[in-house]
Amino acid sequence: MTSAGSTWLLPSLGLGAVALAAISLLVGPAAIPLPAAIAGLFSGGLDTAALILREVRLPRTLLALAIGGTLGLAGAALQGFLRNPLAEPGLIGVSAAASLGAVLVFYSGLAGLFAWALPAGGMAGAAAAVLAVNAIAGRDAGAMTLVLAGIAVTSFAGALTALALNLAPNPYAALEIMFWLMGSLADRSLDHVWLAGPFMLAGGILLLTLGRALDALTLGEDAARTLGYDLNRVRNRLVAGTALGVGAATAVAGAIGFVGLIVPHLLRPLVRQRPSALLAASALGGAILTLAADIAVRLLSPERELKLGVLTALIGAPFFFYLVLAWRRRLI
Amino acid sequence: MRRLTAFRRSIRVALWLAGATLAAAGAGAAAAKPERIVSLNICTDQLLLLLVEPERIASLSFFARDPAYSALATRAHGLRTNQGSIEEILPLAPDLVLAGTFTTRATVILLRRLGYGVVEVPPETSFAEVRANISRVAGVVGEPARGDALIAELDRALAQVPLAARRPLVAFYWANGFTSGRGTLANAVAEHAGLANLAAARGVRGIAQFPLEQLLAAEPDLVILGRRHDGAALANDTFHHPALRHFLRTRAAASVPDSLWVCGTPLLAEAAARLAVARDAALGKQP
Repeated sequence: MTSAGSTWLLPSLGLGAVALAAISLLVGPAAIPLPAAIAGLFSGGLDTAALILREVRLPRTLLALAIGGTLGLAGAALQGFLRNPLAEPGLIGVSAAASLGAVLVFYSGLAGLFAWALPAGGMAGAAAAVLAVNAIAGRDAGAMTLVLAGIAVTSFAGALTALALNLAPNPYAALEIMFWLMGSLADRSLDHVWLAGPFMLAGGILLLTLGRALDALTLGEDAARTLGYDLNRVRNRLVAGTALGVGAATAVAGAIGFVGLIVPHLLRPLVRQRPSALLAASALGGAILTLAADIAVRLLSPERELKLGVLTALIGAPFFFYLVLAWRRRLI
Repeated sequence: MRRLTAFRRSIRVALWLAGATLAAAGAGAAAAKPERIVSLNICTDQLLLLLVEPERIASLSFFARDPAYSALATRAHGLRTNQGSIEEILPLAPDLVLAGTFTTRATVILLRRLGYGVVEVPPETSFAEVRANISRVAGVVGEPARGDALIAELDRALAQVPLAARRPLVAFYWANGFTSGRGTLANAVAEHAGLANLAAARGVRGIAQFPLEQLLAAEPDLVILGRRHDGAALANDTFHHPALRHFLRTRAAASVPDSLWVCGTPLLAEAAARLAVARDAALGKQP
C-alpha cells in the first residue's frame, strides 16, 4: 500500500504542476479566449494574443515552475543534510544573502558587464550564506542554533540590501526593497528565464544526486562515513547546488520565502520519511505551491498586484507557528 | 464660484499673515507684498519663479534646480534651495511659505504652529484647477495682474494646439508600469491634444499601475513612454520588456519631458503641442 503510494506520488504531482502551468497561462488581466491563447502560444506570429502569451505569461509560468521547484528541492536537501526540519533557504538566510548579492551587482551597474553577472551575484551571496550558516550552526545543531544563525544572516543581509538600495542613484531604487525582500514574478520576461534557467537546472541536478547520501545520513554521520560517503564532498555539492539554484532564482525574482519549508514537511509522510524520495517530490511540490501562489496573486488583486513573497509568507508563517507548537507539545 | 472661494481664502491668509507678523500690523498690512517667500514644493517653485522677482524668493525646493523636473532650472540658479526641513526654513524668517498639500507635511504643521503664514497648493487635476492655482498663488504673493497674464498665456497657447480628424487611443506607460488615468494633468493634456486615454477609459483614477498585458490587448495607436532615470533600477526594465519592444515595432511611441507637465504652468500647452505632433505621427502610421 505504502509503496503504491510512492509510485503514484511523483506522477500525480507532475500532473498537478502541468495543470497549474496551463491555468497560469490562461490567467491574466487581459481576457484572451482559450482558442486564441493556444494558437498564440504555438503560432510564432506577432499578433497581440501571441505576444501576451509568449512574452508575458509564458516566462512567468516557466519561472514559477523553475523557482518553486528549486526552492522546494533546496529545502528538502538542506533539511536532509542538516537533519533539521527548520532548514530552508528563506529561513536560514540563503535567499536574503542571494538578494544582497544580486542587488550589489544590479545597482552598481556591474550587471551590464557580462550577461551572467546578475545570477552570478545571487549565487555568490547564496553560497556565502550556506557556508556561514554551516560554519556557525553546523550539522546536528539544535533547531534553535540554526534558526538564530539564519535570523542573523537574514537580518544582516536585509539591512545591507536596504542600505545599498538607499544609496543607489536611481530614485526608484529605494522603492525596490520590497521586490528584493519579498519576491515577485510580475513583468518578468523570457530574458530572465534564459538568465536564471540554466543555473537552476544545474543546481537542481546537483541536489538530486544527493539522495542516497542523505538517506545514509539519517543513520548518523558515522554510519554514513562507514557506508563510504565523504561528508565534505556531500556538503560541497549541497552548497554548490543550493547556491546555483537559489542564487539564480533570487537574482531574477527576489527572495521568496517559506516554499522550501512547507513543501518538504507536507510531503515527508507520503514518501515514508525517505530523504532521497523527498527530493524529487519536493521539487514538484514547490513548483505547484509557487504556481498556485502566483495565480492567486493575480486573481486576488489584479490591478494592484501583491508581491508573491507576501502570499507565500501568509501561508508559510502560520505553518511555521504550527511547527513550533507541535515541537513544544513534543517536548512536554 | 471656485475663484471666489480661492479669493476668500487668500484674504484670510493675508489677514492671518498680518496678525502673525507683529511688526507689520499696520493699517496697510494686508496690502503689503511678501518679500521673503519660501517654496517647499517643485510646483510652487515654478509658479513663484514665473510670478515674482528673484529678490523676493528666499528659498526654493531642491528640485527647482534639477532640469529633469524643473522647466525653470536655469532661473533657479543662484537662488537658495531647501530640502524641506524646518531647520533650513526658520533662519530665513520667511513672510510667506508656499507648500504642496502632500509633501513636507511635518514642516508645514510646525511652521503653522510657530505662527508662520503657510499657503498650501494642491496638485491640479484639470486645466480649471491650474487656472485657479495660478490666480490663488498670484493673489497671495501680491501679483494678481501677472497671474492673469499667465492664465491668458496658457489659454492662448492651448488654443493653438492643432486639431485632428480622429481621436487615436493613447497609453501612458511610466517606469514600473504606472500610467496616468482620470484626474491627472497628463490626462487633461492628452484630451486637449485630441487623444483618448486608454487608462481613463478603463476607469483608472490618478496615477496607478497598469498591467502590460492589458495595454497590449487594447492595441493603442500611440504609447507615451516615461523617462528612463539615471542609474540602474528594476523600474527601468519596464521600457525594455520584449513584449513591449515587439509591439512598438508596429506602433508609434513618443516621450514628453517630465518638466513640461508635472506642474500646472503655461508649459502644459507645450506638452499638448508635442502630444499633437505624436498624434499626427501615429495617425500617419495607421494603415
